[in-house]
Amino acid sequence: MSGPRRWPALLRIAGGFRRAIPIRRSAPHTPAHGEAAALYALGMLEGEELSVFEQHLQNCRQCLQLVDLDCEMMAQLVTFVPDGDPPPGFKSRLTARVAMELAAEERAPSLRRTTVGFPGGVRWAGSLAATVCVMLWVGSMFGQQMTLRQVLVSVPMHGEVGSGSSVVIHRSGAAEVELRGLGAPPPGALYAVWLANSDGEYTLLGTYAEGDGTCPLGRSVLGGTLVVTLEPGPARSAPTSEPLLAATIGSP
Amino acid sequence: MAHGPGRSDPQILKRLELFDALYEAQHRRAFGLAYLLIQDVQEAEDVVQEAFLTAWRAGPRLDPESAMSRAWLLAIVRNRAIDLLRSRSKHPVRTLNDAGDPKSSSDVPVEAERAMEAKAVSQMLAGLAPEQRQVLDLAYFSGLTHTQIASQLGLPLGTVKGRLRLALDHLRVVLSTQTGPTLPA
Repeated sequence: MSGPRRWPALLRIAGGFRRAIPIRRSAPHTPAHGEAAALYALGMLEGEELSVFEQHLQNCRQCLQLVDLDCEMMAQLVTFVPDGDPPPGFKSRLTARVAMELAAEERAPSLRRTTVGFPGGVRWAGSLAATVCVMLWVGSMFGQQMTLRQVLVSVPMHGEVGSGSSVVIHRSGAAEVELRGLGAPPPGALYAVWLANSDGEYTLLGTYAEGDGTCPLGRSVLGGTLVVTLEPGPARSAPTSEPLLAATIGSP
Repeated sequence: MAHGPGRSDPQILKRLELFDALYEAQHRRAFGLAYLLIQDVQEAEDVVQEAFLTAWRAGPRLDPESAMSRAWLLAIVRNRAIDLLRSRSKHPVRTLNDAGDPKSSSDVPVEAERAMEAKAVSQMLAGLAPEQRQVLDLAYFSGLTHTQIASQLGLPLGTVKGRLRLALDHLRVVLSTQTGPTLPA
């Protein structure tokens, strides 16, 4: 955001403006003020016009109500906009940026306590965080890769066997299953890793011919349940045996 | 490599969950808005990515289920898109009427469908008087300032301001008939 020009409207949408600018006393309201209220809600006031109107707004109930209604309507108008599909790989690129943000927060713990962006937060902290990100981006590629490979969280898998197994999520957003202590499967059989959704549908994420190993998962598993089964042959569209191990990702 | 969760890991995981939920709920709407305003896929992606990163920084205060969070995210998308439009020294002024005429179909695979949906927004605004619709379109969807609108239309500044006020008043009536009487005119 280029400056404070459109912050007031943003704050109104979030319902934080009334707290920020309490009514002090009534002030004369003119049609010109009503017009300024429209410009204010549209984020079009700048410089002295903005300062003068915000000063007036502190004392004018009618303008405050107008701005309130206008901003509410602006938010409603946005919801009529048609949906669109972002380009392929957008989520991956966004996830990588989030990973870098996480790394920045951990490298600069004093910044992590600073709330950024959301109404009521410290406005300049966004720029500061962006600066930290830029610094990280211009760091060595090696450093970046190491950061992305860092483990974000490890979720234990539960079952009667293979109790040392876990699901590992890296800062890059990549996830993998680490199988431990399952033992070698019978000849011809494979361990299969499935992602189950809330509708009971299964997606095969990978198969293993060994009971100890790491199975990279080529997709986000947040919010899903991972299941490991022993399949008598090449895995099909759904498990054919009871789960050996299971873990729900996203319920710490 | 140690895989045991650190002391902050549950919080991070929860934060990732919230972010993922917001993304899944809003990324198509956010991209649609950015593209509608900017008409450039790459720049729209940049805008939406920055908006989601702002949401990420909001941390646990973000509630993907809340209408306020959704409106907030979309407001960020619009504001960033408008900033981008205004930063272009000479950007062609585009209104909603142009939304059905994409520059290229090769980089916008869902253009036809999107254009049809854009017309729904256009039809909603059609309930306004033409002169009111024109100024609101230029202000809201093209990101022009009132001075720029006055210059472009050859109108006095006061006229533009007055039309914008009337446009918002009338739009409130239009919206209330479509969504219920939640917004008094």
